[in-house]
Amino acid sequence: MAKQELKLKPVIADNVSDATEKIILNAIESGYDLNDIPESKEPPVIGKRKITDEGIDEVVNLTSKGRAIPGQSLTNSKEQPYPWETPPKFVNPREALNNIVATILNPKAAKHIVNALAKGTSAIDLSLSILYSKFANGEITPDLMLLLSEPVMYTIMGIGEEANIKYNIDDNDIDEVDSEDESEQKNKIKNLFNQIKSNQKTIEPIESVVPRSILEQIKETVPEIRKSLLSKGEDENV
Amino acid sequence: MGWLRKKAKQIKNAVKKVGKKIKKVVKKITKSKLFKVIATVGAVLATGGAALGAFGGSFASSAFGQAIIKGGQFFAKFNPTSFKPFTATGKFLGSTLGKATDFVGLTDETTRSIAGEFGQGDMFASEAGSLVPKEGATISQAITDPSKYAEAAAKTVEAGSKLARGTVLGDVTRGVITNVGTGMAMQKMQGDPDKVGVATGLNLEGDTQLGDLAVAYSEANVRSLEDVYKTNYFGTADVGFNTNEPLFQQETLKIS
Repeated sequence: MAKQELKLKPVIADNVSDATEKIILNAIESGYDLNDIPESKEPPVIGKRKITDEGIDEVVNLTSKGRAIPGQSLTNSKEQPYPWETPPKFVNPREALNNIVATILNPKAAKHIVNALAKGTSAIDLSLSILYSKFANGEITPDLMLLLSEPVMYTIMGIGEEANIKYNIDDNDIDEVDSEDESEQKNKIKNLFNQIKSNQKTIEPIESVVPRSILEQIKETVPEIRKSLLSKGEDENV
Repeated sequence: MGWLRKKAKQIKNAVKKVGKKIKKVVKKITKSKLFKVIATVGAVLATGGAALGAFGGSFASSAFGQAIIKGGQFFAKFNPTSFKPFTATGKFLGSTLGKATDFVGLTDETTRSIAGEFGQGDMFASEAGSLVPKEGATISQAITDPSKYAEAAAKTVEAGSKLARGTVLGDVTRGVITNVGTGMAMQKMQGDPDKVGVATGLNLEGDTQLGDLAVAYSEANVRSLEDVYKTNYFGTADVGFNTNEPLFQQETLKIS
């Protein structure tokens, strides 16, 4: 019912994270319950990165090929510049973002992105590689590459969520435990333990319930039981 | 490329920061749900509303969406079991993501169409000869279906009005229109740019609805429409978010 009357104030920010935060907080203030958004009933596909021998070999092969000599690009002919040395196709971030998002949301590209996320590639790696290829093709400037990294990453994360994948954001952080969360959990456990400890009461046997003879028998036996099994006993054979 | 990794860390921290701030307000929420909300809302904002078609539920009912749901081919390569996540995803697209767009106030659950002042055709009632969406048609419908356009009657803005050129409100308003649609439709809507004091008839709507938009822009310290177009802004008040661009019309995001 509250959702029908939901009236959010327009929000604008210069980065996606801020805008997202403002919108969500504004929605919560307006009475929207985040728990109304249902989660997928199916278990998510875990996009955990697996390091294989072939993968390591590939990295070794790539790194062993050597790198460009400093200044090598300057030796290139002026008549045949690299794409990134020519004027970029887009200088306006809005136009560039529209172009990139259109590329990403293309069915074929989306399929590859979903596959990559499910195999453990992180959302940031994917977004930066897309943007880097756009730069290398001379479509955007390095400045635009950095400006667009956040919205592109959110788009990829959106695709990952659509596909019900538990994906990495950066590196292999799928199982990463937040240090603050960890300390919060530790404190909770500690508090719970202290609470149990303070509530613990010494149980006194009641004579009316347990016969006196049995109580005496227990008193005699307990010191014997408390002896360590490894302690030197009075062995008759020794 | 250490500088790229540095940027990556910054973005990751920004996402985590958003999560922490929301977690402070909403205690009882699972981490996965919280993250889902952030990622989905972020994606909707990042695509400038372009993905509304996909995030709003029509994707699931489109031919492409149905093919995925029925076949589950996307996951065949890495999912050896008979588990078909896209069957769930299809539902997810129709519900969860749809709800996310309800959540940002752009769609509403019953119709799952673009709602609010940006969805109202009469907002764009314009000067004589300009094309505006017909009565009852939303802007997105008008843009994808030319038959939904109608010629507008003459509406002028008095000199000195809050919507006149040079004012933040007027410029922002015209900015919305400038980005609505492309080509002929856009030119028609925009009207004659040389006529000083003649705006696109937004005075019909009154200043109150657009006032919120102008406030949002002034809060974000956005001075002029030129800045809006040159800089990438994000949010429900962003002109790019509230308009329909060719991106909407590609195969993935076909809007019916």
